[in-house]
This record gives sequence, structure tokens and C-alpha cells, in this order.
Amino acid sequence: MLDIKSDGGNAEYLFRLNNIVKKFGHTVALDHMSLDMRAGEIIGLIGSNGAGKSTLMSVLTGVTEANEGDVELSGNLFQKERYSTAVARENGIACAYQEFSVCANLAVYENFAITVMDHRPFGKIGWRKEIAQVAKRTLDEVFPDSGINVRAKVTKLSIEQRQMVEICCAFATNGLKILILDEPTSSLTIDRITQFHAAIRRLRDTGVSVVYISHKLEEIISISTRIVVMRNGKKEREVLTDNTRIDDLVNLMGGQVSGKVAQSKESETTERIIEINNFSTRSLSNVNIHVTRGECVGISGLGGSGQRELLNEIYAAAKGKHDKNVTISGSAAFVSGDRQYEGIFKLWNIADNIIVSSLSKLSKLGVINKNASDSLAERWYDKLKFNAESKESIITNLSGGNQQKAIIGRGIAADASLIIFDDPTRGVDAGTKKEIYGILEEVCASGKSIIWYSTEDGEMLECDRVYVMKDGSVVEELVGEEISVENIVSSSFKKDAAASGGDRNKDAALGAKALNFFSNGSVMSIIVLALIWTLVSIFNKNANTRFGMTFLIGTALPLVFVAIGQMFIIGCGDINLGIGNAMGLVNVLAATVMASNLGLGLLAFAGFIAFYSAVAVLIHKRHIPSIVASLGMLSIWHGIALIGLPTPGGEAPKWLLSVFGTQTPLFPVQVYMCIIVAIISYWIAFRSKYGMILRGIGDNPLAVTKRGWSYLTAHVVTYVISSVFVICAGLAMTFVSKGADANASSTYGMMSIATILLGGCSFSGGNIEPVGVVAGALTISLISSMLTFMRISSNYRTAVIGIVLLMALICGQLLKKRGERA
Amino acid sequence: MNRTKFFLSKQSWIWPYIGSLLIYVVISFLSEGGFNLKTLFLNMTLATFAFLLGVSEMLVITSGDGAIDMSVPYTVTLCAYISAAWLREGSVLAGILLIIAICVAVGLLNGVINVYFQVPAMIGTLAVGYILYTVVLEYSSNATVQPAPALTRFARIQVGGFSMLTVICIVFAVFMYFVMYRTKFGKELHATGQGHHIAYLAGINVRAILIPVFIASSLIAGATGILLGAYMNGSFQSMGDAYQMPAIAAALVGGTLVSGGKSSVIGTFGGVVMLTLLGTLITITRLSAGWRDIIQGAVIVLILAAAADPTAKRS
Repeated sequence: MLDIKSDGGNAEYLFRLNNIVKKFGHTVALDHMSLDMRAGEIIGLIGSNGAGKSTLMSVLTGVTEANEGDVELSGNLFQKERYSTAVARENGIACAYQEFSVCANLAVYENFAITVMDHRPFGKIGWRKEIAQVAKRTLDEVFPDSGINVRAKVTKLSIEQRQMVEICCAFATNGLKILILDEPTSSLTIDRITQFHAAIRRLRDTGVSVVYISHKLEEIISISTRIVVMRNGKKEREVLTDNTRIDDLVNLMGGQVSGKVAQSKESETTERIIEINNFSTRSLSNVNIHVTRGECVGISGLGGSGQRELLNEIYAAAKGKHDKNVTISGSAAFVSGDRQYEGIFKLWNIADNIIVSSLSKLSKLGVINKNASDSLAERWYDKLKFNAESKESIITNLSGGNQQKAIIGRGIAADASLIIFDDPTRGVDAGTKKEIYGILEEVCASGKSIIWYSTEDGEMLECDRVYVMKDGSVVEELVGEEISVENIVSSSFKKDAAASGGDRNKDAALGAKALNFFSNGSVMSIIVLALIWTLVSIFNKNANTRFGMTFLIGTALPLVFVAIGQMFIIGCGDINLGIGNAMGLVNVLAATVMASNLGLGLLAFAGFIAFYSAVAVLIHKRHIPSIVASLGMLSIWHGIALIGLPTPGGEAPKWLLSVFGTQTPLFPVQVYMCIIVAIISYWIAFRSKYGMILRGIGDNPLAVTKRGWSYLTAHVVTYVISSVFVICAGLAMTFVSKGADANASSTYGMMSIATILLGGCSFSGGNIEPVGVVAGALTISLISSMLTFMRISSNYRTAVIGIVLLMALICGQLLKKRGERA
Repeated sequence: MNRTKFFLSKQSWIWPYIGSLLIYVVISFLSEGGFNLKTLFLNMTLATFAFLLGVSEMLVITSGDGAIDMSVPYTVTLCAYISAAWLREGSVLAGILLIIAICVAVGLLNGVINVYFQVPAMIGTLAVGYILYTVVLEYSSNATVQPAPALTRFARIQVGGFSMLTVICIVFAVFMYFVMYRTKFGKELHATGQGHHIAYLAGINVRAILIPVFIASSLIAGATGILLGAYMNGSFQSMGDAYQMPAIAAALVGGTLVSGGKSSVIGTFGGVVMLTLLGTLITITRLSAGWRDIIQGAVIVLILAAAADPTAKRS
């Protein structure tokens, strides 16, 4: 190990981080940490969990603002206030993050586009093709034969492929000078890691520097030129990689050297806790495993070979899902390493997180015994040696390793006869890992059984028996002495390693394609629309005449416009409950101010757009959930409209009448309006460059902002777009009613939300279907006309809408489920 | 200072009480003797309904996943009509059973649609609400509107200055407090609200939490419908509508997290008190209906902007 000595600062630095301090509440994440780098270096950055590695890198990329210290890039000094993700980008800093920052709803090449394109709102003609080529080239360069279709959506990719996309996006950055890789290989197989390391070396040869963060110390030693060890937010040591050994690094990080000797335990009993015979599902084939009492059984193999599915099936069986091939005796607890999405209860403290699975034994007649639950929490809090202020500390204030302890404590405290571990040491530092192994050993000694899936082959040495999986089936069982990393690896690649799951699904492909087609929201709602239109034309011969269409489509137009306005809001992850009342205000403005003076009316509309968009700023700046803000705004819009026009009245402006009365060939102008709305909103969402950003924000805002795009701008732009459609809706309403009523539009609020779901959009943002929404709006609006023609009481209107809505949503869900299964 | 800030950010239920106090001060300042407690108490009685429904929304919102029960106002109206017809001498028991059966059916339907068919609760319950509205329209076309006199008398009993409704409210608040924070069900409900999948992996039977929540929400709405019809001495087709938004607003202003997992019975109560005082203020200032809406909306937005934790990460 050679320590680095200061060389007097002659060499040219690519960047220098000087005395960075970063605090989160009371926790000091970075304590006067400094780091510098020259061209062509590969720094291995290591340290236990919570040492501050990721925080340091997020300061360098501008995602996190430091409390103290400054950043120097290529000789330019930046004060912390002037530093941002955009500045970092301009200076050629790119990062592949540990938690993937790709937008799953965008195509692969679109993820490249948001990474490499400039931040102007519009792109050159043909940019999509150009970027797709860049994406393909980069993927082929870094991961030859990756098999990734750059035009496919990221959702369709496997975890490994997503990580490859994440890495390649960073590689493709324009003017790349500094590449940061945060745990880049956690989902990659060995072959891919080899390809990846070769690509890093080639990149280094072109003068790019790399910061490589990893818990996998072998990788650090093989790839880096210099190693920086962090501990408690400070630099513990800095060494040249040559002649450095893993053990040295482990010591520096504050963990003990692993000295585990494989031990074989005699099975005392033969009582089987798990008994699985010839078990097959769509991702598992013919699995045979068993686990006896007190045994620790490992599940290994290449990532994505069906291990997780197996664990989930075992857990489901223990929870009562019946399958004759799976027998679980006793209860099971589940401990996941995916703390964010499967582990912690974020709003709670450590104590509550521990006791939550033991509530049955802690309560009598449904009432929790406070003393008993306190002492249970206390016991596990002491036993697991948390690094926290007290057991009342909020769990999110802890480091990943400590959070993991709480989840493990929860699992063991539940007194289940079987504990399922799904990669519990993911992203956990060496010291804590060691402690976790100790706990697991104790658990088995107390007569409980463990089934343990790990992505780290070395951990399998802790098990009594190991099943190695490949392509959904168990290919090898290793017992006692046979368990070694070499044996696991060789079994993982057993038989024809090149065969992939692709062939298996070929037969189902056609059916899946058909299902895919139908589960596409737009298709579904167009079919429903066609059905309703047919019904309408059967009961009323005039429906297909020019006059009939003018009337039927005309009354639907307000809903068409307002639903598109709502679609953009929901697409960006917000919701607007007050959109109906906002439309009511436009209706009032149009029928009063605008009817008397066009200029004044336009001014009023400009004011409306400004006010409407200001809500986005408020939501953004104060982090208010949009649903609540829009609830307040609902009342405000309604109030303004009432003041403007206390009782229904007003008149439609002359120009509006002539616009809607335009004589157009073939179909009335209302039909063309629907088509134009669909085309324009489709173009905004799917063809324009900034629309891509808006969709990306709706799915994964952090991923987009990390690439230097402004969330606030995107938020405001979304609301401006929405407000324009709301104005159109209000105008259409004014034409339909030939006047205004402050109350008439209220119901459009909820109706617009129902419409966009009927149109095939998702509720949670990111997934929008402009054509489907237009069809959905027409459908809902036509229902009442249909009932009238069928001579059914108008009382049934809402019920029919409700039933159509439910049927469409339920069918959509069922189709989606079927599609996933196929 | 920092400490106070920390306290306020954790105890968000306090904000509506601060708001109430401010509004109260303004009221006393403006009214100069013209203000009497009678107006306040009258408004308080009316607030009972918003509180009951606020708690039912709080329950549903706390179950997480952005759930809100939009069928509540329709259940209220339907049960008000049915109580007028059935809660009379000779058919009280049958009437109560009928109302319970309806509420359980509505709640079950809401729950099943949400849990088994994964339709977002806001839309699923809205659709059920639309169906209920048709039932209301059909039923009300030739239904008894006025409840039995005894029922109205019961709802208007005064107990030492407190109305019967206020007493019901307080008892209900205490009961709900106990359920939410002392029982296994309450704890598991809060866990479920923080993530259905996380709760499932922690051994909680999520379906056995969600479905009872929807049923409870409908039952509370039904009970509110009976009381509302009785107190107003009559039913009309849109009688529940006016309470939907205030109920949700009261729950949220009171510190219930819109994304689920955190609730506050005390806060919801505070939210109702504040909205009521606001109503009183607007009444005595004789502002037009438009201004009333604007002020109400602005106060809701302001309170939430104040209570929001700006350091919170977006999810």
C-alpha cells in the first residue's frame, strides 16, 4: 500500500472538491471532505454504508447543494450557490446512479436524448433518428451484443439491461470528462462486467477520468489506479492501487476481515419446513427443493434466474395461497434487501418498524399492549446494536445498513418458523454484513429455518446447503464442503449457457402481441366509442347526418378539451380536481368580458393562464400535494366566477359563433376540432422534444432533474399547456350553452379524471394517451344522448357512465394482467 | 426557534388550531358586540356532519395509494331518504338493518373494485357514486322526504348547552382515536398506508385492512345521512354534495397525509372547527357567496402551504 503524497499542485486538476460539509438535519454526512482528480485517472471510492460516498458524488454532480465548501472545475472556482446540475453537465460530468435514473416510460433512445441533448425546448428535424443511432452505437461499444432494441420502452427491459442503459447514457454524454459510476455492476453478470471494465479502460485512454464506487473490492482493485477510503464523512486514507490487498481495504473501512471457515452442520431433525415438488409457474420450471427445521439454505445462480419468483411463491404459500406442489409448515416472515420499496415504513421510527409484524402476539382482543410492544422493540434494538440516537429515531434518518437491521429484527421478532431473506445485504457495508451473518447463525441455532437468496456468491458459504438456479429451474444442489464460489459459478453456467429465455416465449409471442394491442389504452377506448356510436346511430337515424354530428360532437367538445387539459396535468404526476371550476371561470369570462370587448377578454385569458400556472409554482416550491392545492383552487375559481356572474347569463361572443359555424367539407367543423386536438396533443406529447421531458418527469422526476433539466420549468410548462386546453373547453362550453353559468362546469372536474382513465392513461403519471382520451370523452358524452334516443329516463345517465367506466377499467386491468402473464 | 419549527413540522395537526384562533380574533374584532356565541354554536352543530365525514375520508386516505372515497355524498343522501321512510314506529329495526345492509354493500363494492380489480379508489368510488346517484334519483321521485318527528327531536336535543350532535361527535372522536392509535387494526392501517406491498411483506393481510376501511367509510356516511336528514327535517337530492369537499379539506388540513400512512383525529376536528369559524366570519362580514368561496379556498391553500414540509422529498 502506497500512500499518496501531495505533489505541490503542479499537475492540472480536472476537478477539486474543497472542504465540503453537508448536513442532513442533525446528521453530518460530509465533514470537510476534499477530493481531487486529474485526467486519465480511475479513482476507486470505497467506504462503509453512510460513509458519505454517494452524498459526495451528488455534490459533485450538483444534485445536492453543500452547506460549506466549493467546487473547482478545470481551474474555475464555483461557489456553492452558483453550482448546479446544469453547470456540472456543461463541464462534462456524468453519473450512472446506483438507484437507476432512467425513465421507464420512455424509449431507450429517449433516455439518451434527455442525457445528451441541449436544453432548448425544440430539437432539429430528424433528431430522433440521430439520437437512436448514438444510443445504438454506445450500447454496441460498451456492451457488444446487448440485444437491446433502442426503440423499445425501458419498462420492457430486464433489470440487467436497465443498468446497461443507465451506464451507457452516462458514457454518451457530450464532452465527457468525468464519469461517476455508483455501484454500477450490482445487476450485471460476470461477462457483462468484463465488457464494462474493458470499456472503462478504453475511455480512460481517451483522457476521461472515472470515479468508481463499489462495495465489490475485487472490482475496485482490478479497475482503479487510486483508491480513496471514506469513513464517517471524512477521507480515511488515500492509496495507490498497486500492491493493495482486499484485507487492507476492509480494515481501513472499519470492518473485520472475513475469516469464515465453511462448517458443516449435522441436521438434527428431518422435519421439513418447506417441501416443494415439481413446481412450475410461468417463470419457474419443475422446481424441487426442501428445507428442514433449523437449516440455512441458500439460493444462488445468475441474477434473474427465477430466485425472487421462488421466494415470492414460498411466501405466498405460507400466507395461504394454495398449491398442491408447495407445502409450508408454520408461518413465514420476509426480509427484503430492497429497503425502499419492500422494507421500511418510512414514516415510522425504529421501534414501530420492528414490532409491526408481531402485533398479533402483542395485542389482546385487538388492543395493543403498550408495555409488551415497548419491551419487544427495546430487546431487538439493543440486540442488533443500532447506530442511532434511540429506538424512537425515524427510520429514514438511519443509514442503509441500520435500516436493514430493523427489517431483519422485524422478521426474527415475528417468531415465524421460516424466514425468507431476499438479498438482505444489498448495499450494506462489510461490518454490518458480518453482524448480519452472526444473527442468521443464531436464528438457525434457535430452531428456525432460513431460505436465503443472495447476489453475492461469497455469502453462500454461510449456508448449510445451496440450490443453484438457472432459467427458472434448480440445476445444482451443493451441500457442506461442496459449497464454494467456484462451484456456484460453474453450476450457474452449466449446460448451454448461451440459451436464453427468448426461445421459450416464442410460441406465446403472437397471442401476447394481440393482447398487447388490446391492452393499449387508446385502442380499447376507440372500440368502446365505435360501439356507442353504433348504438346511437341505430336508435337515431339522424346521428350520421351533418346536423346530428354537429350536435352530438358539439356537446362533447367541452369534455374533450378539458380532459386533454387534465391529461397533461396527470401525465406530469399531478392532479387537478378544480379543473371543472377553472373551466367554469373561462366560461364566465368568455360570456361577459370577451363578449363585450375582445381585447379585454384576451387580457383576462392571459391573466387566467398566469394564475393557473402560478399554482404549479406554489405546488413545486412548497411541496404541497397537487390534489390538495387543486382542492383549494377549486373553491377559488368558483368564487371568482360567481363574483363575475352571480346568476346564469351572458352571451357567446360573435366570433365564437362564427368559428363553430364554419362550413367545412365532408364533416362538420366539430369533428375536425376533435381530430386536431388529438393530433396536436399527440404531437406535443410524443413528437416534440420538450414533450419527452414532460413524460419523463411524470415517470421519474429525479432522473430528469439529475440530467440538468429544470423540474420547475417543466411543471409550469405543463400547466400552461393545460390552461390553454381549459380555455378551449370554456369557450366550447360558452358556445354550447350560448351563455355562462358559474356552476354548470363543476361536474367536469371528476368527469375529466374519469375520462382520461377511460382513455387508457395511468393514474400515477408518465403514461398518456391523447387519442384514447379524445375517444373516451366522446364516449362519455354520447352516453346521455344514447339514453335519450333509447327513451330511457335521464336518471340512469350517471349509473350508465359509472358502469361503463367500471367495465372499461376492469377489462383494462384484466387484459394487462393477462398480457403480463403471457 | 429551530426547535419550534421542528415541532410544527412534525405536529401538523396544530395548524388548523392556529388558524382557528386567528379567525376567532378577527371575528371578535369585526363584530364588536354584534357577534354572539349563538351563531357560533349553530355553526358548530352544522360542523358535526363535516367532522363525521371528515373522519371517514381520513380513514380511507390513510389506507394509502391516493385513495379517497368519492361515493360518500351519495351514500349520505340515499341513507337520509331511507331513514325518512323507514325509521318510524314499527319499522325502526328493519330500517336500521336496511341502512346497514346498504352501507356494507356499498363499502364492499368499493373495496372489491379497488382491491381485486385494482381500479384506483378515487375513480372506482366515483363510479359507484354515480350508480348510487341514479338510485337516489329513482328512489326520491316518490319518496317520503320528512323524517319521523321523533327522529328530528332526537337530533335536536340540547344537553346542557351542547347539542346532541356535538355529544355524538365527541364520543365518536374518542372512539376513533382509540381505534386508530391503540389497536392492532389502527397500526396495521397506518402500515398499509405507507405501502401496500411493504405491508404485505411485513405479514399484514392488506385486503383485510382495505375492505373494512371502505365499509367503515360507508357506514359512517350512512349514519351521517340519518342525522343530517333528521336535523334538517327533510331530504333533497344533492344534500350530501356540500359536505364532500369540506370533509376532505378538513382531514387534509388536519394533518392527514394525502399519500397515506399518517392520520390525525384531533387535526381533523381542528380542521372542521377552522372551516366553521371561517363560515361564521364570512356570514358576519356579509360578503357575497363568491368571496366566501375565494376566502375558503385561499385559507385551505395557505394552511397547507404553511404546514407542508418544504424539505420533504417528492416521491
